[in-house]
Amino acid sequence: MSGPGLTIPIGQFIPGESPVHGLDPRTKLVATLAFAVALFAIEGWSGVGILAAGLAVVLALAGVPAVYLWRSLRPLLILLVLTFVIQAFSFPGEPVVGLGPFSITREGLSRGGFLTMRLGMLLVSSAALTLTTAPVALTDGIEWLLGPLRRVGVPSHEIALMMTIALRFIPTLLRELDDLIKAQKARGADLSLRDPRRLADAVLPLVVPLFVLSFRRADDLAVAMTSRCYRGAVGRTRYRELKAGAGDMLASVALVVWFVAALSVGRLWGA
Amino acid sequence: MTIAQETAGAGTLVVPALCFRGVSFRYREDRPLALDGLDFEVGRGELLAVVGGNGSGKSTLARLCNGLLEPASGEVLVDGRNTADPDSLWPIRSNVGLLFQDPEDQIVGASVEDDVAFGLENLGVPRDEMLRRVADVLEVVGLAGEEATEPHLLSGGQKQRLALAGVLVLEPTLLVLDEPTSMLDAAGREEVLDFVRALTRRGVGVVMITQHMGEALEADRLLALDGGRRAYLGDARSFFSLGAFKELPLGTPPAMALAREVLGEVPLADLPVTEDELVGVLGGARSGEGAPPGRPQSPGGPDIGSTGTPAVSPGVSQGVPPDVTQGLPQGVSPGGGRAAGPQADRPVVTLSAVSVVYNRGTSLERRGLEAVDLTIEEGSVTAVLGATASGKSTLLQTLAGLLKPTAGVREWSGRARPLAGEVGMVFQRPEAQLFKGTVWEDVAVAPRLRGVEGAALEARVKWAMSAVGLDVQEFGPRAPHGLSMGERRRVALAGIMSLDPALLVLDEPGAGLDPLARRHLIELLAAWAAGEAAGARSKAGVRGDGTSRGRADGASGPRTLLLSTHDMDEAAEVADRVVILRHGRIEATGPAARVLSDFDTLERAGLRPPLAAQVARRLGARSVDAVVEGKGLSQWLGNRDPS
Repeated sequence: MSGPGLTIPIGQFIPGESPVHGLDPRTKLVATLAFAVALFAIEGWSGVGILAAGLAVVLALAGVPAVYLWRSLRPLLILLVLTFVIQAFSFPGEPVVGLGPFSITREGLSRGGFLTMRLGMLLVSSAALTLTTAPVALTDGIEWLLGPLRRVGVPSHEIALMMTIALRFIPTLLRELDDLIKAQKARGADLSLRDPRRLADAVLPLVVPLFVLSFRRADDLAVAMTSRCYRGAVGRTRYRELKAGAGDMLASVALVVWFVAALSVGRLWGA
Repeated sequence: MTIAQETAGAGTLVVPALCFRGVSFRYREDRPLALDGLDFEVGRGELLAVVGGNGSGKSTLARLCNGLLEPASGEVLVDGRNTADPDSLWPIRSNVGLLFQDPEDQIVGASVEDDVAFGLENLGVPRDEMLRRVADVLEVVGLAGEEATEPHLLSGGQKQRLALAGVLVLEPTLLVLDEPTSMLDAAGREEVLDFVRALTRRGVGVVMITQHMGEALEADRLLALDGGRRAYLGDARSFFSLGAFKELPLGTPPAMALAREVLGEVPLADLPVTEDELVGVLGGARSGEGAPPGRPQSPGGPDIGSTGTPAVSPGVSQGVPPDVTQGLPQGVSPGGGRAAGPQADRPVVTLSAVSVVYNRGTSLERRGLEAVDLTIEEGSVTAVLGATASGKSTLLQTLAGLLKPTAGVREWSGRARPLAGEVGMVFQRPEAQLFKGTVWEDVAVAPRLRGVEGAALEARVKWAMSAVGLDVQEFGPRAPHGLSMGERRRVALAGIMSLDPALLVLDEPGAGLDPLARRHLIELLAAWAAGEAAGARSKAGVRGDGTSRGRADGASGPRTLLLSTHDMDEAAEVADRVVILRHGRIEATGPAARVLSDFDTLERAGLRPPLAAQVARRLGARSVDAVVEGKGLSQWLGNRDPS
């Protein structure tokens, strides 16, 4: 079972003792959502500046290494660059550089930069959330936030439990996948996807066994959960208590001031 | 009448922890009964072992105990409550702890403490009480300090203890264990058994389903199932000493098997059943106190237990010729490979100063192997031993060329990389890798990928399947997933043997199999290796006939076998050489008989000596005597007697 050589990094939560780590997950979830809203409600660069400065303070407080932030941005870098380029070329206005029928305009550069900055900050802020919040705490926070929606039929408890079980079994399945890759390679299988015509040959030796394993596990897990008296959300108590403390109060006030400042500054100057 | 009731004294009516009354059950109308009119009771504080072959109804019994299944007829009572009564269902489930084979599938929480709390949350226990009970039970199972650990980071034994904690936190009055130790090594198994014993002393009734007859002997009483019916219910020792177990497809208690090998033809009733009894009889035989005749006799007779299979395969039981085991300069040569012994064979693979580091440069950096020097010689059967996480899998994968060392040099027969098909590796639980619709197709995968087609492919598949004891006509067209676990394991093995590798590497080939299937597999491997390996080993002397089990396609060269195991008796039986790992370093390497009788080295590596070695030690043998299996024990007893 304990196949060595697992090289796939799992999870991106970095445990720490910072004030940001210590916040209630609900505070952080709400703040991240509010930050996203603020990002798209602001007008002008002054708002961006205030939000960026605030985000930098949060990141500094959290003590998250820059390399992790970079890693969370990297996969979407192409999207950011594309956004910038398309905006720069497509916005009508005073040309800066002309390329045949296309030209980069001053307004385009400004719009592109504005949009790209905001998208980038959205990615960084959500990375800041997951880097400083344990996945378990995150699911708890989500369950709480979805709680009010229970009345309209949203199964908040079940959603949270599904997320917990997924978190619990992803490492297990990754390890099994890792073992399978090695085992099939030992049989001489070519698992690279170089030749699209041989896609099935590369994928089936992994997918079929992984499905069989997962279904068996799911079956056994259901029996084990029932044996441990699981019967849905009814009459359940919680081991983890979400507790918002003084720090959360302080953080909430700071956040409100920050967002209001960012939103109003553009409007005031514009007026 | 249960023991508990009898001892409770007259007048006191004690409700048994569990009571089956005429219980029958079937999964579907068109299927035969899985359980048929079963009657038994488990008293408070009683340990009942349940044994039986595959499909005898053991797991069905477990699922009836807490109302996961309802009997078709008859009734199941837990603490006097009927499981068929809907109002009793939740009280019963909170009173019955059910524990299955694979702890991985029973852990729900994303951290240790979350998982333990799961059952309490479900029952609506107030939070303060929950905190206290979780902390208490983690202390009891020895996982205190691991509260926030994610379950996938725990070792196998720790996972089993976590699964146990999740059940114990509900303070059950009845514990039902469905083969709880089959995934554990000897130390882990003993740990779980000690724990179960402690629970019975606190009044918990325990039903322990097991395939290990040595374990079954520990129980107060034993229930044997055969086709869903009660085949035996009573004293555990009598089940074996009276021979009732021979009627069922069950293994033999290890001490009893060893006794049969050493004592020869003794009436069953006189045969020792436990290690203590065996030591007593052998010790008595020496001082001539009328114990069964200690007639040391050559082993390998076909009559060991009910299996009907010879305990030791011909050619392999020899293990290492006595001159090799005893005549060598003593002292183990750590890390030094084999000093020029009497048979300096051709090396198949050589490691020099090989180190493996995982996740180098990250916070997860972990050392797998450190400065390992090792030579595996052609025709040898080498067992790699070591405690959990000592680097066994890493070493095997490095030797098989599937894992690149961080430092050091590897050579396969003098080349920097093995030839295609030269090395075959079978991973742990290889049955997971089967993915084709039929057994034939799955065995054919590897040769096909190497371009073998047509008649040659037919021949390869047939040869590989027969090497693992599967009939091509019968098993070829069947779907792998419909086979038993032991059969699937053999299919997976054939899938690598079909490559006809000169070096076959197996990581824990017997893990998770029941003792009979395990025994069968080890015999197959021993026979496979013996075909030519015997020839290579006796190079100086007789050339083994080697023709009956020649390599596929007439390839030449002897076979070399390399396997890891946590079963010392298995190692003593099949291996002629042993490598012992500890924290990624080689603690000892050398002839099997010598290393496996070196108690100090084994203890340092966290291993238990083979049973025969332990018995011999208790009778006064020393490491120099190199007694590690039945034959060696017989010889040693024979040599000692005249004095």
